[in-house]
Amino acid sequence: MRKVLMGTLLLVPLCGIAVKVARAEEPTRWIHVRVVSTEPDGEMVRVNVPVELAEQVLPAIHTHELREGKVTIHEHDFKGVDLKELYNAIRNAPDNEFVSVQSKDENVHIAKEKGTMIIKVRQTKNSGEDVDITVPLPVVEALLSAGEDQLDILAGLKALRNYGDTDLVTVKEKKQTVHIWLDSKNKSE
Amino acid sequence: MENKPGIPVWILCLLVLTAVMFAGVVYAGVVTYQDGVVEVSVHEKRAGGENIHLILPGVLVPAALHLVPKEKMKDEMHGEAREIEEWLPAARIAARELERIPDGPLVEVDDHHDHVRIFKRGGSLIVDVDDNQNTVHVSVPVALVRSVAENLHISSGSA
Repeated sequence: MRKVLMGTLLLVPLCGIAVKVARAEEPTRWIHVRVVSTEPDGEMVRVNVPVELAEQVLPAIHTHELREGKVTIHEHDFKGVDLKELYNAIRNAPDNEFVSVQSKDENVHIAKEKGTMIIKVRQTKNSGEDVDITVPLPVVEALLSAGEDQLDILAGLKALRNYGDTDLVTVKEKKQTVHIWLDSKNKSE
Repeated sequence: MENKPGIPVWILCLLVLTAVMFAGVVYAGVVTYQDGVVEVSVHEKRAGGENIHLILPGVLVPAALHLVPKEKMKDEMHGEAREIEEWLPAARIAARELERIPDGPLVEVDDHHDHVRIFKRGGSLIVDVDDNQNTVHVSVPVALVRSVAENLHISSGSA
């Protein structure tokens, strides 16, 4: 009995050390944002932020829309679509393209593929924009965990920690392209 | 009473003075090494433009902040600089986290005329701006950024 107790007592600090070493060896994860203007005098903006830094700073930001890591969304942003309901439907559905809306102005395709939600918006008019969003489903769940009219960005970031290199958002407009992705490199592509 | 020929008093004074000066120089060196230096250089591209290159011990910045009356600072933070005050908690945390992150570029902005780079290198936060008129280089130790953010946060009365 004493040996078991001694063994357990020794094991606890060893586990603590092992966890600390594992954390120290964890590579820094970076969120990269790149905005490239296609206009003749346009500019290129590249921002590289460690996920850990974003996680620490976000709760301290208190602006009109962003408070404690949660961003307020307005009903009109999603044209009355209940995001939580939509997510629940997607989560339980098999891998497939399950929403495809084709209208005069744009085609929207939402698909689930290997635990990832893929949203593609294609403008049919010449002046439009193309949007590609790829988000792992647990990240979507974390984002929607805040409340009715909020997105929990902080929870989303924490959930993203479990994923490797990930393309998150690509927006191609006539005047500029925006690319947001996550990887372990501290430099933009 | 025996009168021993000892070291003259003036030599003793000189030795003590030298020791004090040496200790002062060593202390200043240690403090400067610990807090690093702030480097600012500005080069005006126009003909006959100014070239300014300043290297200041980082320790001077928090010291200078301490000289600003606390009430005056608080009033400023709650008044015209209110916007800054709102961002101070975030800035303070960002400064703390900056010390932990590896070196690398943080922000890069390029267009036809202007190039801006903000990056971390060797424990310093570096800002390089190159436009049509000037080339500006500012290097600030990350520890100093943190210290200033902490000081401003305390002065604002948020702490």
